Amino acid sequence: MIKISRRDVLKTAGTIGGALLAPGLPLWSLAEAAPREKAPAGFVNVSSALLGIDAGVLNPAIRPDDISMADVFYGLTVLAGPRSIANLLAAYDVMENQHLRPDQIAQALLVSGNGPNTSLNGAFSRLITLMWLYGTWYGHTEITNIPTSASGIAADYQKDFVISSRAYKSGWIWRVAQTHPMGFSQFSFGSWASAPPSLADYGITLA
Amino acid sequence: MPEYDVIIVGTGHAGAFMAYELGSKGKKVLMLEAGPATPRHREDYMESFYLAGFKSPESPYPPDANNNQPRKTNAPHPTIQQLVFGWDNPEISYLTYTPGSLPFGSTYLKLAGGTGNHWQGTTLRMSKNDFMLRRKYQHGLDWPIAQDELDNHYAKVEAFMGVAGSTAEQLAARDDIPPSYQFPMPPIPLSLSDKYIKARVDGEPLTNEDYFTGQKTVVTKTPQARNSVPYDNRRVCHGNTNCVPICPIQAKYDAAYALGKALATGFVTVKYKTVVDKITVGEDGKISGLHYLTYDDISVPAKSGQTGQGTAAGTVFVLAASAIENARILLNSPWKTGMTVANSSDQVGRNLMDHATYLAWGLMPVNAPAYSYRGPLATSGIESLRDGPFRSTRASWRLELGNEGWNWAKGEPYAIGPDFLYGKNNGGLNNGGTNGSPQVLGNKSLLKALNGYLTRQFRIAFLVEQDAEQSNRVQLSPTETDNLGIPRPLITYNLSDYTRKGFISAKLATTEFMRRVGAQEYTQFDAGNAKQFTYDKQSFNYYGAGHVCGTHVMGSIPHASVVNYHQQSWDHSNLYIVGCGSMPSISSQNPTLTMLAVTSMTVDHILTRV
Repeated sequence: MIKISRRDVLKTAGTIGGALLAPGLPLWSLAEAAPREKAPAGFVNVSSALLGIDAGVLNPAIRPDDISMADVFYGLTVLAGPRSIANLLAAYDVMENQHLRPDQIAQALLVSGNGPNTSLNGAFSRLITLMWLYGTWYGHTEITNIPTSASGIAADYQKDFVISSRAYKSGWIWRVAQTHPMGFSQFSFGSWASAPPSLADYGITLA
Repeated sequence: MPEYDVIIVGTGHAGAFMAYELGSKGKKVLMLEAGPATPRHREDYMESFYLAGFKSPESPYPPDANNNQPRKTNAPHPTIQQLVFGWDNPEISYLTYTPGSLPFGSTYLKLAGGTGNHWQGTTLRMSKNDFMLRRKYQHGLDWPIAQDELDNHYAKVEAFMGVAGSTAEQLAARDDIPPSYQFPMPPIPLSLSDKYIKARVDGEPLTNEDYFTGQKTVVTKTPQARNSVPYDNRRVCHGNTNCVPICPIQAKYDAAYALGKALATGFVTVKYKTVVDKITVGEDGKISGLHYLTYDDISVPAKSGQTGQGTAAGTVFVLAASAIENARILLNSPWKTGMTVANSSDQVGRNLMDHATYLAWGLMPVNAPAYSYRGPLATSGIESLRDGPFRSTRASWRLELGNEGWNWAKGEPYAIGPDFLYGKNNGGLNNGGTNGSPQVLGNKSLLKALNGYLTRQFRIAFLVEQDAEQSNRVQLSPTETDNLGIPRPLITYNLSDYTRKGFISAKLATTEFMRRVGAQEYTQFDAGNAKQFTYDKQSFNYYGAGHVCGTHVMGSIPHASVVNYHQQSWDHSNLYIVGCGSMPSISSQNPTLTMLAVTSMTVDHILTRV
């Protein structure tokens, strides 16, 4: 059983935390903290199915500072709901073994009738999707929309918080919108006057 | 002789510029700043911004914008969070209100550089008629200054800040700018959507009001204090789309940069966490000192309060603490029996103004995505329709074209993702299910929805003029204080019929604008937003523009104004009260440039005295 504490979140996700700072270190140094969990292939694959983005694009072999956002996000789900994430990955394995297509898996995990899947598999599927999109843990949003999800999310994680500045800057919503995170542009002067890079340039396809 | 020639309260736009000008002439200046210094690492501000769940204009800066406890904060300021979560609850909102008041939509900061940290950088000049609103159009108040008296000062502060602009564009915008003038830098390029819109919107006026006869709609590049070439040791803009709350690379001029230049003169000293609470007056009627309280702790709630106090003495005193705080300090300073400092006219605190903003938003045509969320927050606007005979009837507006999608309008891109995962329609775009019901999507269907909508989002904002009104005012709360025990502002705020008619016009103009662009309008009235009013049976939301003006207006008659032509108190010859609070009318242009040009005149006057 993994002991869950807010401090573990800080270590895992690199979120701001004065108690962890060595004197004189700037706050942003925390964003460089290495994740302690390595994401299993199933986590990356279920993320890929939910988002419609290739696993190798979501979790490239070569990444800045060798920090994998998949590892960061997986570590957070383990702290927030170890049983919930284990169950989701087991359900994913079953569907993969049934040779369901990724879009079918996403449908099964996210949708129930005309609305959202209210099971804990649905909850963690949404939380994972939102982490990749926004770099934010949406525990409060989840239980506000679907109160029964609270049973699968540890108390410390029933809140919304930006996971780290690295997670914010890595948010896929910006690439899907063919732009950059607000406040973190790697484009140059005048780039806004012409069309942005295509989705393909980000490794995203819509078909 | 006092140790300092000039004492300046506040290190924002006006104070920092003034300190630089005085310091560079060898005048000894002491600045008293209520808030903390700039952190050693600018990345600390950025980290706070990145980690903020609610990325309000205040989010990068202390005190914590997500923890609003003004009673227990040493130098609290208003935040957007306060407006959203409890504008009328004095436990949450720093500003308190009289019964029946509307919420005041704008906020400001207390720290090194003041609100000059999170201004957008728009630097439009005001035009001739803007300075004589009463004489010309029988509304509001007149200035004691004529526009052409400011030409040289506009040029001076544009050079100081570094303004990118084009004289030809400003002439097309019907600005009263000398045709031979050259801006310090070439203009910021139009965004992709600006160009598409300009090609379709330029032409006839946007409404069919008779008043517009002979006027044309012209989208023009907005002059802005943002580097289009390297300037004054700062980089060119990289389009972080984050001018408010913070430019990560300081390509946008900000007052904290000016403060650094002031300090580099070697003649300027700043005391931080030093809150001026009272002004004292000598027997001769001149200001004798500024009383201040000091504190250490900027956390919320504060673990400690006042740590000391003192009185600053100088030859000349300048209040540059922002419109509401200038009024607060003056109203908290007794003078003679039953009076307060600089207030023989009873005008201190009155005429509080802002640009009440009408927001409208839509989706660009499918074949012409806006590709927003790129570039500076705004690169163009429609200025050519600001002035005309219609101003006898309704308020002026300028139209700003945004580059940040529906970020201001709907908090995007943070609404659309949860909407399509939870089957909600908070953003207004998830209605593609059976009979318009919301959908739940994943995989490529989700990506298509996100990409398809986010790339087509755009917004426009009409900055609607507010006319000066005696009843819109700042007083002191009789009951509420901050953690230092200083009374907090008590606001009475409303929008006149003149301004409300400006909203009616803006709404009509929006319909025509969207038609010309071929866009689908999604503007919605939000009944849950307290910033609302009804006029002519139509309901509107209004937004603050961050343009806090009035409260110590300048004029030519002592009994009807607080300061004179030089922003000098009519009552105390060694007191200057500067900033947007001195503006008797604000037209529809963003006020910082004009405020600084007037401050430049004031500096010249002070230099004749010290």
